[in-house]
Amino acid sequence: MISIALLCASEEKRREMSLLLGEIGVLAYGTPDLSGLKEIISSQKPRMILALEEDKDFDFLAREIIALFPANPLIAVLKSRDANRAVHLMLLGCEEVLSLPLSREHLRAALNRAGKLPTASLSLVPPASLRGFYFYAFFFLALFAFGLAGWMIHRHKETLEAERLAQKNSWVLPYFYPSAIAFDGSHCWIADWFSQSLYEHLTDSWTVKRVIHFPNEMPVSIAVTTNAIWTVDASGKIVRRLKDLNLTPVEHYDQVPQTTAIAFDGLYLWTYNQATKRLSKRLTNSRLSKVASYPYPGAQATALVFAHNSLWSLDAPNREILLHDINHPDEVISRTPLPEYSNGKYVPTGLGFDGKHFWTVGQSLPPGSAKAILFKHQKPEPR
Amino acid sequence: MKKIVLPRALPAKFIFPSDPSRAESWGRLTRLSSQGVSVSSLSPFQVGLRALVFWEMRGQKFEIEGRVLTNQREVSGYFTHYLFFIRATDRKKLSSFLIDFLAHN
Repeated sequence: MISIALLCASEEKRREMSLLLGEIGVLAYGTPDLSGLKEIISSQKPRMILALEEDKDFDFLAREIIALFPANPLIAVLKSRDANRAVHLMLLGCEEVLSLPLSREHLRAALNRAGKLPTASLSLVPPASLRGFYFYAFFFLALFAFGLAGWMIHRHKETLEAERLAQKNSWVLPYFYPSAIAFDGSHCWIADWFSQSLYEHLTDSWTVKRVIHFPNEMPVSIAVTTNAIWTVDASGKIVRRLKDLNLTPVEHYDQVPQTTAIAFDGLYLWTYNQATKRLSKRLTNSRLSKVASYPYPGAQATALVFAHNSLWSLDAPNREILLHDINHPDEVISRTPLPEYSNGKYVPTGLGFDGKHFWTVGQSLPPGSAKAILFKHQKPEPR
Repeated sequence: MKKIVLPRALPAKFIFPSDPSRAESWGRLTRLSSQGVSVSSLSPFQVGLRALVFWEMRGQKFEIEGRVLTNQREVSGYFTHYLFFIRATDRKKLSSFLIDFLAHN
């Protein structure tokens, strides 16, 4: 049990404080004056002294106690709360200063620490604990900065990619369901099956020069020759048209049903039958007589085109352009993938060649969710 | 970096301008640097509270405003706080005093 000497002139207050000290397990030897205190210190050897300020001479009393009993820490108790006075007493040598009314917590804490007064360290650097605070603050700031930088780089890359796609090699078309593309010198024809129309575009600005509506047909493929335009209807019917203002139909051919793609090599008409998955080479007579027929070496041909005296086809399910051996079209010389369609937003529906580059038109997936897109591709090198 | 340890923590008075209803308080400065100070006191200071710290050293009186960054209750029942000195001018002034103090002790 801790024992303390209690210096307090008023007997009533001394009794009150002794009770309070007893409640927190401290044995208090009370005395009204300095002579009594000397006796208690020599006989009872208490660990510390608790002195209550009662008159104006308390400074003198405190100085005397500290000088007489330097080994016994002095805790002063002020009559009322006064920070200036508390600091003054601490500067005189009191270990701790409390004020009335006393709380058990304060009293217990002050008695616990008496005799174990902390030191004061002076330095120019902040204390270690705060250096830890700075470290964590810096660490989290750095983490946040890295995250932000990563996100910005990612966004920048996405923007660059979008710009690359939007500016250089692709154009958004003003309709939704393209089905075929064909070039005629400086003009380009694109068919839209939903609006049952053929759009003639200027190839420099890709603006629509003219629209020709086919009330009874749904064009799915086009082939342009020097004096005629061949179109294929969704029913598989082939129509030969004059290259006049209204693309007046000249002849209808019903003999080759299920045709979905068509190309003209200057002499023969090449057709693709979706049901049998066969390529056919035909004469351009009234019956479109078949000269030869070959199985298609890809998944499904969506478009056929002649370029540099070779037959090329668009294998839409595989997103590839196939170069066929002209003597054996069932054999593939090269397959060129179309990375522009790898994101799955579009499916290629038409393939055209303008003399320098291959062009494809794409329909959005799901159909109608976005406007049609036109891609320019480099001419694939035969491998 | 040179450091000096004084045998007794420095007594100090605290006034809280941001909370006028709060009475003045006192405690002891246990670690003092030009950036801030660690304070041991019987009453807790809330984190974020602004406090004017008054203390005396070598006959020189200091009055510096700090902000309470930490508030930790020790086993003894005392509270330990770290106060960061808000104004750069105060930190500079204290820094020059400490340089001089550390050089002559």
